[in-house]
Amino acid sequence: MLDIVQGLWGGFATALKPLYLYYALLGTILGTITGVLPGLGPLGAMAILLSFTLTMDATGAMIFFAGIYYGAMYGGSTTSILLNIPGEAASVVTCIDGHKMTQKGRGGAALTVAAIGSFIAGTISILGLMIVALFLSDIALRFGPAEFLAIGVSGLVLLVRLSGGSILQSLIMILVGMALATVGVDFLTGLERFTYGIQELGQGLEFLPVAMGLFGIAEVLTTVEQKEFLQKVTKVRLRELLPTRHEWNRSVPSMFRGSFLGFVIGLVPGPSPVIATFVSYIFEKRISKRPEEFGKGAIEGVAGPEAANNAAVGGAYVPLFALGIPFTPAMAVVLGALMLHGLTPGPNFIKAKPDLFWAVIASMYIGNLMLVLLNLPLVNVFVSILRVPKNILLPAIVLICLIGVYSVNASPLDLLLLAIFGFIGYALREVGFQPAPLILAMVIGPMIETSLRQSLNITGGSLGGVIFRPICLALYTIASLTFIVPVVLKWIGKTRPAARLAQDRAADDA
Amino acid sequence: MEAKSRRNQKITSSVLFGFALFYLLSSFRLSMGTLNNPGPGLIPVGIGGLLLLCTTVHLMGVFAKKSLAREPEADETRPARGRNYPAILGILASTIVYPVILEPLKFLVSTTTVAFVMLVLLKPQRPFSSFFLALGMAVASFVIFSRLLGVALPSGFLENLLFQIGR
Repeated sequence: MLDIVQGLWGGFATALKPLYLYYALLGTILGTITGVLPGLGPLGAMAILLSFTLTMDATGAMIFFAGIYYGAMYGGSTTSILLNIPGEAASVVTCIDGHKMTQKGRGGAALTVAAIGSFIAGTISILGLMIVALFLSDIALRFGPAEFLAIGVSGLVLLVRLSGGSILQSLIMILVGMALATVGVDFLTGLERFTYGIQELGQGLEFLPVAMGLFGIAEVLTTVEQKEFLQKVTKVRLRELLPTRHEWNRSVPSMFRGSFLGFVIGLVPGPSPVIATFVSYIFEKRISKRPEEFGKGAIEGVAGPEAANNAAVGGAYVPLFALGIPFTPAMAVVLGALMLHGLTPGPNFIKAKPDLFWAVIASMYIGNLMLVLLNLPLVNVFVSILRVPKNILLPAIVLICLIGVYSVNASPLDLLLLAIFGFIGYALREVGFQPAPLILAMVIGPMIETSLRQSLNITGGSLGGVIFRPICLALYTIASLTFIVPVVLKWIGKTRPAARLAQDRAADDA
Repeated sequence: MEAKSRRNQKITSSVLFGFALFYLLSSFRLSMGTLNNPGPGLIPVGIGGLLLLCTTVHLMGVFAKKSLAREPEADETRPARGRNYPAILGILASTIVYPVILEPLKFLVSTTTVAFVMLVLLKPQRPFSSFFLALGMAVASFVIFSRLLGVALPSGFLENLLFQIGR
């Protein structure tokens, strides 16, 4: 406990330095802006701004990214509530009751509840992150390559199951990502793989152009086909921001429930903030004394999901800091930023880099506070960003991507990769493939390969020795159950009515 | 519209199948090693085999017109769409041309050119104002990346002049 207090104290001392405060502020503002813009969620924003972090140190980069992530979550809810336009996927649920509240003249109250809920959730999830990450990293120190292999594989399997789209498509994207990760010099033998004589490919495919192409350029190309974002903006007056006592009483318990639920879901691989909002909404509706109000402007329908998506962000940081494994695509970009600074997270990370860990934790508190203090009074300013014409915004994003990628290695090949992956990302989205699992697999892929080869070496080629270890077996079982249980439930659902019908007929006959 | 979407699915599915086949064949050239001493080709062969299997199933589903994949759901974040292929191709071409012209034309001219092309493609009615907007974007990005972030960008006379003025 004393370690936590000391660590947090040191973290605040670092995070309160003017430069880091500036990075946190910049991150929250840019995150809110990207959250407000439809389509450009936290993942796209992080990918586009990845090159900016090269001029920062690792601590600054992490503080900047944490600000973007929280800011984007909050920005998305603003447009959901006021305009019925979800800035990103995790804000879709907020539209249901949030916009209904705006139509009833309670949009300001919904915004405040969303902001306070996000703040409470952020604080609870940071507490959870501190405790769980420290605990998990201690356990993970005893893990061998077989356990890391199990975490990586079961993480990807869960991702396939929980991504929401077609299982086959997600699986193809993961395998393509893993295939791309094998390009470059083999770490054990020093042999080149799939480089086809191109020297620059020896180091493997650069993460930055791939991520910026798949999420930056591809998003621009998709957005070209859309109409202008907005024609009419609903203005909110400052005095309208205060919820009534009745609204407070109804929303505070939802905020806490959403926070705990969101943090736990955040630990699971997949698009956890999105899943957290849906689960929280359904949960709130189920336990509500007035379920009929849901869908017509129930404040619990805003408070719970908004708290849940912010708490899930904190949860998503746990596997990254404790195990060095990103479970969400956005965390893969965060890992990419760490690797650009020469850092590779793993179970030793918190012990080896305590300054960075605690500074990021402290900056999350500060970033959450900044969001509440800045975003509520400036809500009209952020919404007015939607008035910037698309024909100016899109070329600006493309230029940031081009110059950003060039600034890393000054390599024309990287720029070519940016264009190629931009097109690939666009083409995949057009036919319903989501490129997010691809980028995650590209980051986890090398870890899985290393762990498997090391495990096979250690066990003398025994696959049983790799799989039948207590932790591995538990993880593989959980991953398998996510596939088996839905099939069984579906089967039971189909057979029950048939059995009941047969019973009824038998009774009738009798 | 649906026929076009189906055609796009067929093309994408075929390309993915081709990629899987090419990847698997290429990975056979690498040494597989043994189970207790895996070589650099073991994992790629595994990935390639699985990928080929998955893409084959997907391809068969698409060509049998029995969509295995869920149709892309109407995304609430994306309003109504109308194709703008010239702009899409233009933006893609700009990203490919940019690295080619960056070194010979230096940063300001090449960035202004690329930005101008994109602006005109997205709003062809205003070429004159698009030019000044493109120039503004190039100068702003030079100031941000070169002066504020310290990135070394290809510089010539114009860039040095801008640097001198900024001092």
